Amino acid sequence: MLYQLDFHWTVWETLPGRTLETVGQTLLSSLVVFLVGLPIGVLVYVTEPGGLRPQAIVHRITAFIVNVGRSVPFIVLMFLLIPVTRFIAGTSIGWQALSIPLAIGCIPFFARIAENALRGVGKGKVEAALMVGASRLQVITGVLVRESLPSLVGGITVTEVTLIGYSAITGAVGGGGLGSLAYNYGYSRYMFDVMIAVTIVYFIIVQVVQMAGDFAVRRLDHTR
Amino acid sequence: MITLTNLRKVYPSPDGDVIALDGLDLDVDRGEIHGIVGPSGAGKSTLIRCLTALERPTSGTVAIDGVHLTGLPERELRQQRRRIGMVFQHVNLLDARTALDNVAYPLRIAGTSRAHARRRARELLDLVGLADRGGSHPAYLSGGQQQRVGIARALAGDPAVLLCDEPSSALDWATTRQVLELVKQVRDRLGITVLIITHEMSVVRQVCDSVTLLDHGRVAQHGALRDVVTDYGTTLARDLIPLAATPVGVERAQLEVSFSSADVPVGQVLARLADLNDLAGVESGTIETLAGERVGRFQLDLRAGDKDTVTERLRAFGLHVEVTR
Repeated sequence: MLYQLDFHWTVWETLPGRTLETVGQTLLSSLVVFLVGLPIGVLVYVTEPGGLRPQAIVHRITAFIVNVGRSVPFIVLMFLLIPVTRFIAGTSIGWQALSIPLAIGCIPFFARIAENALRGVGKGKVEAALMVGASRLQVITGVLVRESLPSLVGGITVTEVTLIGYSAITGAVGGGGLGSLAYNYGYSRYMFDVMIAVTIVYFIIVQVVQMAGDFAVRRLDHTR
Repeated sequence: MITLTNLRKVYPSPDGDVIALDGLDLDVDRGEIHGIVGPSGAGKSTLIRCLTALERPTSGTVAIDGVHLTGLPERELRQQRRRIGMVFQHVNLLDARTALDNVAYPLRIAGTSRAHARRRARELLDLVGLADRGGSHPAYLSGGQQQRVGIARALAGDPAVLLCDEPSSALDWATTRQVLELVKQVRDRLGITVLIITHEMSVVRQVCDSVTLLDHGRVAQHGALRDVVTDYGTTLARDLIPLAATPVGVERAQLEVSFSSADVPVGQVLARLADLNDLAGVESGTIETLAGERVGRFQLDLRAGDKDTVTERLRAFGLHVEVTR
């Protein structure tokens, strides 16, 4: 038999703490993802030919970086970034340190989502704002970002769920959290009860994120 | 108020340059509602983009209220754009903001305080007849109401010129009438100069004082409505007062008679035509009220031999007469 069917109370005791680590890691890295990813998405969009501020070279470079970032599998990126993680955090283990590759891995993902959300804002609205004397910065904040807020928030929800998935991977290489419980006890020591517990907690976390996201989108979207 | 001199806009393309505007001259007086008509590709959209300086002309100048837009640095251009209110075909309201905040938006970005901007926005919504819909988001307004909000927004910066780009093309017939009526009211009340770009003659007929016909980037015809309609054989005369074509028999001739009540009162025109009795009969005719004048065209059928006599008689009364066939 692959799994033991016993109940491992000592491991269950660590579940709340591990859950908090996962939540903490997710919150920390997602904050960075949104703060860095959105400006990159804006930059890619406004610098494209025919955009608000066409800059062919800037556009090509940023778009290239986003594409490279999205094409490296997360587990590879995580190993690749160990020197960077060490340099910034002083260590390459622990949930705080592994928030770094986690954030870097998700930034291109969200940047692309943000770019697409901005693209959904009609050019006519941008032109109307320019016509009443808006500066480019005012167009970006007051029209592009503000008008695409419902789809941006929808994109944040998608990113958040992906990020939670990636954070489990960090658990397998010393990143703590629920992922480490699943890997170290559920997988390596065949503790089936732990595997089930972790699965349920992940399910609950993702549900909460998704429901909160959907609720926010409904509140923000005034077109239906 | 609006002066364009020798305006040219050329778009370079690999298959040879595309000339969108080919030496355009235009002069619109203060307080006038001027229509720009023309087939698609005539240069209407390019003209709008040059007027609003979203596009720089290749050569020539654009002046609004004596200020030359061409060659202004970005910052001053933004100031000047506020002097032009723009109404779009697809309205382009911001969905995330209420009607009130859409109208207040131009003032907000110009640095006006929220309270003051909203107060002014409320006045403008009242002016366009939507005082009670300020709290609604655009998605909950009808097409006509959205365009009213669009007009209110265009007026927020106290512009000297209202520029309307196909303002009614996305609206049904009845809503179009209401929106155009509103444009007229706004002009009467604020003394603003209005430029309406359209492909619909009915729009020109309803609100314009004067009109310019564009063709291949040039002015093909230009003038006050009552003058262009009595200008025999021109596109504008034909399209503004359409006449049903009637067949002409053997040994018969056709005359076209046009008039403006500025020259001859309608009653007299009809009396003169009735006086012709057996000499000539009215085959078809239209009388319209354009820019406050009654103008019309008639087609007369008569014996080929009588055409010179009749022409002379009618001309003597101040009517415009041409032999069609």
